[in-house]
Parts: sequence; C-alpha cells; structure tokens
Amino acid sequence: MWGLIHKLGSPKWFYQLSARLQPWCWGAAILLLVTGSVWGLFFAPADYQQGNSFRIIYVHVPAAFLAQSVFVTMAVAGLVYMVWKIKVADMAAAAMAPLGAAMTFVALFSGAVWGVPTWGTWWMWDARLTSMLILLFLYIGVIALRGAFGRRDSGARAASVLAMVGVINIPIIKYSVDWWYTLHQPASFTLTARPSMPLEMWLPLLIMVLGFYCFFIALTLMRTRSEILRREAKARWVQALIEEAR
Amino acid sequence: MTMASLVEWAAMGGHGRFVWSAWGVTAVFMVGLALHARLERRQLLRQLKRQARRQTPSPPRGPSHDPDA
Amino acid sequence: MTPTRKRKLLVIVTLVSLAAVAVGLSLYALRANINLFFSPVQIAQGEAPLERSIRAGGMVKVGSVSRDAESLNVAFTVTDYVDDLPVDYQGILPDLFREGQGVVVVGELQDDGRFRADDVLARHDENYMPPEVAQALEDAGYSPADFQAKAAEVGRQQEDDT
Repeated sequence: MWGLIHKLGSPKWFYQLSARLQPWCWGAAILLLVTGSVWGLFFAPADYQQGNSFRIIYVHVPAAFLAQSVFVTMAVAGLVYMVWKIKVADMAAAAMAPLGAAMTFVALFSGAVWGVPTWGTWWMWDARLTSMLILLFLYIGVIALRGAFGRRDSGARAASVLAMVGVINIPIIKYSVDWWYTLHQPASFTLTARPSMPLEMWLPLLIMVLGFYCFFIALTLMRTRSEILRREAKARWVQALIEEAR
Repeated sequence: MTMASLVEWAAMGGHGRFVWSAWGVTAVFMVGLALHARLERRQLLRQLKRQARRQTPSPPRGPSHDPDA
Repeated sequence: MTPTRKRKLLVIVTLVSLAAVAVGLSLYALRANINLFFSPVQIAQGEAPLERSIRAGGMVKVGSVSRDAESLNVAFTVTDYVDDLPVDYQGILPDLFREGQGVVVVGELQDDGRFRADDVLARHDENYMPPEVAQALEDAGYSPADFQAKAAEVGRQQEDDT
C-alpha cells in the first residue's frame, strides 16, 4: 500500500494513472447528472407541502455535501503535503479549492432561493447557515493565502495550515442542526439513516449526489494534471510528452 | 408531449423563478468550471509547445543558395 | 515514518486539536446565543428578555389558530408539548404555516406573557412526501399533525418492501 501511495506522489505516475481514470469519471459524471436531473425535474413527484420548489433539493443537497467533502479532502491533502512533503498533494489541494468554494456558494444560493417560498425568508443567522457562510470565507481565505506569497511553498504551507484548522468547521456544520435550535431542519438524507422520503424522491437525489462526486473527481484530476505540467515543465518526461503531442 | 404541457412544467406551479434560478446558477458554475479546466489545459499545452520549439536549435546553415551568387 | 515526520505530524495534530478545543469551549459558552430561538419552556422559565426583539419557536398547537374575520389579525399558540406561548400577529402568514407544523416567530415578549410577532416564519421538518401519499393519509383520516410521523413510517415501509 505504501508503494502505491509513494507512486501516486510521483507527478509522472499520477499524471499517467489519472489519464486512464479521467474519461471514466467524466463519463460517469455526465451520465449520472443527466439521469438525475431529468428524473428530479420531470419524473419525481413534487412535495405535498412545498410543491415544485422541492426540486431544488436535487442541486442544493449535492452541492452542500461536496462543499464539505472537498474541504475535508483539501485539509487532508494539506496535511500530507506538510508532513510528507508530497508536492502532488499540494497541487491537488490547489486544484480543488475553487470547486469547493463554488459548491459552497451554490448551496447557499440555492438554499436562499428555496427559503423564500418555504420559510418566508432567504436568510437567517442560524447555526447551519452561518457556519456554511463561514466555510465560504475559509475557502476564499485558502485560495487567497496560496497566491499571496512570493514563494510557492510558503503559500502552499499557509493554505494548508488554514485548511487544517478550518476543517474544525465541518463537524460544526454537520451537527449544527442537532446541537442547537435552528431554522434549517435536520438531515433528510445521510449515509447511515434511512431517508425520510419515499424511494421515488430519494433515488434521483442519490444519483445526483453520486454525479456531483464524479464531477469533483474528474475536474480535480484534470486541473491537477494541468498543474503538474506547469510545475514539471522542465522534466524530461514532460518534454517527451510535448514532443509527441506536436 | 405538447407545447402547453411543457410550458406548464417550466412554470413549476408558480415556483419557476425559484427552481430555475437555483438550477441555473448551479449549471453555470459546473459547466463554467469544466470549460475553464479544458481551456486551461489547452492553453498550457500550446504554451509549452511554443517554449519547446524556441529551445530547439535552428537547422545548420549550408552554403548560400542565392542563384545570382 | 521518519522521526522528523512523526514529530511534525504530532505538532500539527496537537495544534489542530487545541484549536478544536478552543472553538468547542467558545461554542459551549455561547450556546444560548447560538440557538436561533427561545422555546416555550425557556420563556415560561423566564429566560427570555422583555422589550427586546427575540425569536421564539416550536410547533403550532393544533386547534389554536384563530383569525379575525375583518382584519389580518391572527392569534395562535406555539408549543413544545411542555409549555405554551400565545402569539399575536398582524399580517399574511407564510404559505407553509399550518397547525401541527414548526414555526419561528420574531418579535417581542409582552408583560402579559403574550408574544407580539412582527414576523412569522414557517419551519418545516426533514420529511418529504408526494401529494398522493398525503391525500391517502388524509382520506384515511389522519390530520396534518400526524403527517410527519406517517411520512417517516411510509419511508420505513418502503425500505422494508425494497
């Protein structure tokens, strides 16, 4: 196992391994997202109370899941970079930060829009919404820090530290609806509990969640590979690659 | 499926502006990120090719081929 | 793992843990303020201040909603099944406001123990249900207040069927 991890740490190996994985991830992402979207927008029933605004769940929940998962992944990558000095880890962390930030914004925006016809407000400073907004600021902070230093590794270390400390926010987001009185309701869809909605409502949600995750992997692989080319441009294997591509 | 039923579906029972703004913003970000990543890669490869070409030594100069020489 | 790496890992884990403890303690100390609203029990126990804009939340007590025929005045009771809080509101209630459902009211607690609401927000739970299922439940004689429990049961049954 350490052998595989060591291999992944080599930019050349990561580049070549991910080349094979990437098309499958993109294919899966497109298939799942199209299926889930059509199902969720057309065929799934509306909610008896919320009507069709319920369909916002099919983008809001996957985006919120990704926003949190990407941050955790970024924090782990930061740790790997700081302790084991594996550069590919930092490249991946840099590659996934903008996606995480975008997903956090999408979750907040879709949630706000959903709140208007259901709650009667687009914003409330309850624990769930506030901690998600803090997450957005943490993402912006990580992205800004990475670019703020003259030396690349200084920025990488600062960004890693902020990601590792900021990861404390993730359990707060997750358990906010259980620990405190909030406007946002508890989870309908988790990995462990049975969903509190019938099959024809949660199946398209599951498909969308999986589609979003495949999208995350595919996009991050692509961006990390670009970063590898950028940083390793002088290496012989990159030069050979460019030769072939002519 | 008729035009009328399609319009009715798009209206989302009066909640159209909520559903479509939420889905729309999501789609814009995801498609935007994907396109940007592809563009970034293409531009990078082009740039690297250009740099590699500049570094390749130019072919050796032979005797001049001036017909009037 | 080399000794340097082990040490670095330990330092990082320790620092992050300390930060987590600091955040945890802060959240614990501020827990009353982090709650979005006071529950009827807390208000009954005098924890909520008067003459200040606060929020109260709970369930709309079934049978407690009374609307004035001529104006937009409406009165209802917010309950957490231990204590009740009478609320007066003037305005249009949100679409999803109904008896047996969650609600958050923003306003001021009055001297006479009634709550003057300036804003009413509907608070829904985590259960979702298609209209046909809701209709079937209604036909079978279940009130909206039972819907939440029934929705969970329907979900359970569906899982047992699959």
